[in-house]
Amino acid sequence: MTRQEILDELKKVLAPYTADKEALAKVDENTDLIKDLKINSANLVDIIIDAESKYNIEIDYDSADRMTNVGSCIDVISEKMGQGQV
Amino acid sequence: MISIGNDIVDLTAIDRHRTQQKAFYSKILSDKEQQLYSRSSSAKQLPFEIFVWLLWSAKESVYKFAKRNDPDLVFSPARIVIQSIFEPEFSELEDFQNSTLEEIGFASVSTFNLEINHKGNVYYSRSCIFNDLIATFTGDKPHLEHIQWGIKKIHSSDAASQSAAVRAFLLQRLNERFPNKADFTINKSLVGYPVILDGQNQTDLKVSFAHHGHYVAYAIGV
Repeated sequence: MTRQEILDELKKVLAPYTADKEALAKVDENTDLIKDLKINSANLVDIIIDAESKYNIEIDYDSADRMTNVGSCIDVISEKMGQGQV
Repeated sequence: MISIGNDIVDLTAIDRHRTQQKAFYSKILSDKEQQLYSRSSSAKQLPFEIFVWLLWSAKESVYKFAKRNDPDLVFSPARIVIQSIFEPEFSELEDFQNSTLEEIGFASVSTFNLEINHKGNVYYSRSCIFNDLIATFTGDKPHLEHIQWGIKKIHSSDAASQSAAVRAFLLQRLNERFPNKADFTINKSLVGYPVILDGQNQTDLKVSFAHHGHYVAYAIGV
């Protein structure tokens, strides 16, 4: 999967946790989950678990800590999918 | 007071079923912390999912305390370690009856008291738990009598309403506390913790606020 493909799928993972559909429509790699998408921190674990099941990966503590913006989420997902940097 | 932290969890907005699944709670609690649940000595135990969110809220609250002095800190629930939990005597959790609850210190309320370790520092938190919410307040002294705090129920749970409501709630208390300085505004530092301005000048007041679902809460170091 390319970064763009992961991004498109990631939007679907994030969608249930943000009410700001406008911000979601124009996400880019720098979009911050909490500050820009107004996702409550209480949903961060939901997002990690949804990403794990969607991509069939396991996200360890260290990787989860990095998932604060869209770009770093894509980094973690692509690494865990065994593709390294794409 | 060098910093302050707080957090609120709207228990009506969380997925209780999902919280009970190991895939979920093991992202938040270590094996050792999970054992704190089974070791609980009180006759009446918290439902497990509320226990999970109690620890989450203590961890988040410690993170907010520590972030002020460690701007590069990232929130990592697994690295904030709950050492002990003191549970009050309780029979049933109560509903949050009033629209607001505010106090200075915690002598007059029934709280769950946690001791927490993070990067070699010890933190202390007090959590008020009702059927519908957990509100947690954190300091670096055991008794926390220097925390003025408040919890409020709000009507709209969208992000803009939460943000406006918690700021208005906090500013109202600050203006009451310092009636000669009614020109306070709330700003956020570059890394995201709140700072209080008096006119153009940054004060050294330490505050924290939180919102989730239909609840907001503030803490002021006094």
